[in-house]
Amino acid sequence: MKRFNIFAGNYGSGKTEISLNTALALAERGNTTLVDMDVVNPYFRSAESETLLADHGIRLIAPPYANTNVDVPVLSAEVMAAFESETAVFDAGGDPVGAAALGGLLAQFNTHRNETMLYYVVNARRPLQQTAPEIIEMMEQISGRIRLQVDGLINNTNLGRETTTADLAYGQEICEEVSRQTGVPVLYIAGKPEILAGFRPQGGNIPEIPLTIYTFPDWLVDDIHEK
Amino acid sequence: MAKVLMKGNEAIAEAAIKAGCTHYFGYPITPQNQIPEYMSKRMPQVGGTFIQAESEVSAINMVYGAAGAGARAMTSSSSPGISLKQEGLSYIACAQLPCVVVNMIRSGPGLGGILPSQGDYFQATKGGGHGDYHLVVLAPSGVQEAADLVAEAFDIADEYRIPVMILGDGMIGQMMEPVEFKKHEGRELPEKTWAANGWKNKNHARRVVNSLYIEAEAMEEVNRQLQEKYAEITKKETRVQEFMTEDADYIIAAFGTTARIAKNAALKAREMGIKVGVIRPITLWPFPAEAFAQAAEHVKGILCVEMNTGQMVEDVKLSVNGKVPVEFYGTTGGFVPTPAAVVDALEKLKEGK
Repeated sequence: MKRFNIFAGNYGSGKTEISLNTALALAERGNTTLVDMDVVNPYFRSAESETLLADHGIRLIAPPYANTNVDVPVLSAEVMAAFESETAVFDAGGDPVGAAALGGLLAQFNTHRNETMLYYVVNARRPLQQTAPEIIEMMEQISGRIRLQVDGLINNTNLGRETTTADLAYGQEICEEVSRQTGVPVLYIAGKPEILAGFRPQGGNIPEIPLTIYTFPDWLVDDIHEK
Repeated sequence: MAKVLMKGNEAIAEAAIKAGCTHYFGYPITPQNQIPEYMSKRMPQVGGTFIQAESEVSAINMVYGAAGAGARAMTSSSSPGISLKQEGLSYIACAQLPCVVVNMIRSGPGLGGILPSQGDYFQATKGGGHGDYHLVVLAPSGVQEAADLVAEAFDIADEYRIPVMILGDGMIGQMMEPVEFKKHEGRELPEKTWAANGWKNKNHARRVVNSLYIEAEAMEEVNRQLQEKYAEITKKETRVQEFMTEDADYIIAAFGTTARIAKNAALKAREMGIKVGVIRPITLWPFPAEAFAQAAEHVKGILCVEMNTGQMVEDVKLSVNGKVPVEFYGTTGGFVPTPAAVVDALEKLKEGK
């Protein structure tokens, strides 16, 4: 990972989990900042993990009204401080409108372009994002609003708690197709460690991002069915 | 069909499309915005109609019109927006038209906040608008069930010519879970011989969609028909889920996402040696009074847990009719009850505090 890592992708691609996990990994090496740039999504976002991040010495910069009862899409001027951090992770909004906020930081990213990576996270088990043309269209809309070219794809295909290795393999095929059509390389594969381990024999040497899931409350994980 | 990972809002929208909904009218409000957003993408793909109306009042009246012409029509909103739709809902109920309305409740009262709540139980189940009428109210506790209930909602609406509400909280709308769109075993539905869809060159009596009855006898007759319909729905459509109730000494009553917390709390309580079960009404109207009345024959007490200050608890109390103590635990403001807090409330009930 480079100094500044932007994770973009459509809703449900897993940007937030990847951002949290990456920030926690980077924090082991030095001071890091996580910037929650999502000005659209009301729940299940990076800013909910404030305590976890604080415990690891990670500075969280979030929209001032995140996790409150106020639905006002503004960003804090504090975001500029991220560029003084040793490393930083930017968790983008999940659609072209939500991602537009990052476009406002274009000058900063251009100054640091050699040490910045824009990753596009793909979950090919999401509705309307299951084919290469659908993914490419959304990726171009989002990167267009961020105003940077996507540097690499991350295959994070999953079905939440029901994810299997087959889902990851399916997503890998789709990502490779996206890569063929756009020239953007598939740089990482992400998932829970056991899913990644299952995929490894067929996955070649693609670098892995093992994930611990942080944004889902315990009581939601198990939907206990009728006995 | 392979499973997909969906937000509750998206699953509801897709389920509506799959159920043959051809007309969606809405107006944005958090936390249900993914419904109109999804509909705006999908409706053109299936040759349907998506309209972002100029207001919630306008959207519900568009539903009134489309339903009156026989289309499968839907609108969605969240609490303050649903308040604005109440006049329209009363008209639709009086005109005996089928439609589906989704309410992803947010915290209130007033403009409130964007966090989840169950504060609209009274509004949904006790009328909401003016006059003697009911909606059928379905309360899913997960994304898959939300999708399944949408298909049912359209069928119930058409069978009984009644507006049906899917009542979720913001949590159901926003959380992502795997969903499979199973083939819906639809009902045999009556032909819409009442639909006002054109008279020219058609050989049938004039069809009129109306909710104005100046003559007392006519108004009384409409009320009689409605009450007859409500009695039939109560008999045939009441739904409830019971979880570990057979040997239970205590029952937690909860609906929607809160029922998932209640089930976790019941398991925790059992680890502590308290035999707890959960009764989860799936239809909030008609209310599964019988399930609670039966439970009251063998349990020592019932704890009702809601994300409000105590609304469904009134129906639980009516159902058990004083037979056992009924206590309440609730949260507001967008806070979600924790299983630990529910267990604490259970212990208090057990100790008679």
